[in-house]
Amino acid sequence: MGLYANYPIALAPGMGLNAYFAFTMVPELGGNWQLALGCVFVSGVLFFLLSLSPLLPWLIDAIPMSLKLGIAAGIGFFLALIALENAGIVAADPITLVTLGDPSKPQAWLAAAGFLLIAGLAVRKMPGAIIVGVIAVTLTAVALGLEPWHGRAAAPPSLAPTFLQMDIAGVFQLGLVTMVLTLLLVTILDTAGTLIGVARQAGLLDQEGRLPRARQAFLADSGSAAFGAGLSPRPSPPISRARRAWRREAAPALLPSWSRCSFCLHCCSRRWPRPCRSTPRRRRCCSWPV
Amino acid sequence: VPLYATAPALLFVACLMAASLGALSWDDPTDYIPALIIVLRMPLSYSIATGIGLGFIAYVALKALAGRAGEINAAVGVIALAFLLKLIFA
Repeated sequence: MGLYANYPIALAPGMGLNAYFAFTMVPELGGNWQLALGCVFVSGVLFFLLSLSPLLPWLIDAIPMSLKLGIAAGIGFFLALIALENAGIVAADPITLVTLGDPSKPQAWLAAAGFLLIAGLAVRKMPGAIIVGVIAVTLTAVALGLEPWHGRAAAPPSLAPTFLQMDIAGVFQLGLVTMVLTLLLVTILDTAGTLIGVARQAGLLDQEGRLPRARQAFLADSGSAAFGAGLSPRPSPPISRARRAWRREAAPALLPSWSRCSFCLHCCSRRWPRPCRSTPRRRRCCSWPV
Repeated sequence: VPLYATAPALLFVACLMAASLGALSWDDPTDYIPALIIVLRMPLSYSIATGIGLGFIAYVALKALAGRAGEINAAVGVIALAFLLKLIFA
């Protein structure tokens, strides 16, 4: 995404599709996850072929502004739910579906305080407010003995058990057309939606709300959808700063570290349409209060 | 870095993205109702695609019911139809 489409947008495994893969596709196929991976691969290849056509950029540009705004805000609300859940502020409830988390847990209080800290610092236009908040919460947690000190880096989990294990031939024999088409539709909507959402937030949409170089962005994304099936179970919708949400995925460590590397590459490349937040000398042009 | 330490950052970004609602045309229900359906359905169905799909179906339905079917462009129609078929058959 960074190298080809020249957008500061990272790719990471999509959580909703991951759930679809694990809890719908694999059980429906009788636990045959190799075959399910094959479906992901075939839909990824179809997605890639569609991206070569002008169809998908046309699709993004033709979506009315009101729906684009709804998509951007909706992704915001979705992220909020994930964040509140991660923080233990929202919890599942058998009667009311959702409820307030356990207030006796210090983690929820730490997260809430961290949020207020970030918001406060951002209002004061302090550079790096988000990073400061995250680090402050982490250090407090370590100081309180809630988190063991792991050191600064962890090795990514092994890819070997799922590497190139997909069963492609089986997809055509069993005629899993609906499953492949469902995956394709969901992937296209996820990708288009997330691209619109993060591009709007980052100010990458032009005056008429269109996304320049949408074709390249789709190609980068769909390429990784097909390639990703060879590595692990699901397509990878684009994400921006929201990338931390996807941390709790099955194979989380590799992709975030890649995201981070490619973000750094962007900062160095100078071709980036918007200045990078971590490049101090250009920070004052950044409209984002980070 | 534990999940509850990155959650505040995520929540903050979520707030910034929710500000998109301000730019909606609040004087036209056929515009803001589908947008709000997307906003509500995304977290409640835990899926970006489901939120978009239901919002697009609502958009097509509302525009048609309001007698303004001419405003529906092909892209929205195609997505709404595809998602409707997925809901029925998949």
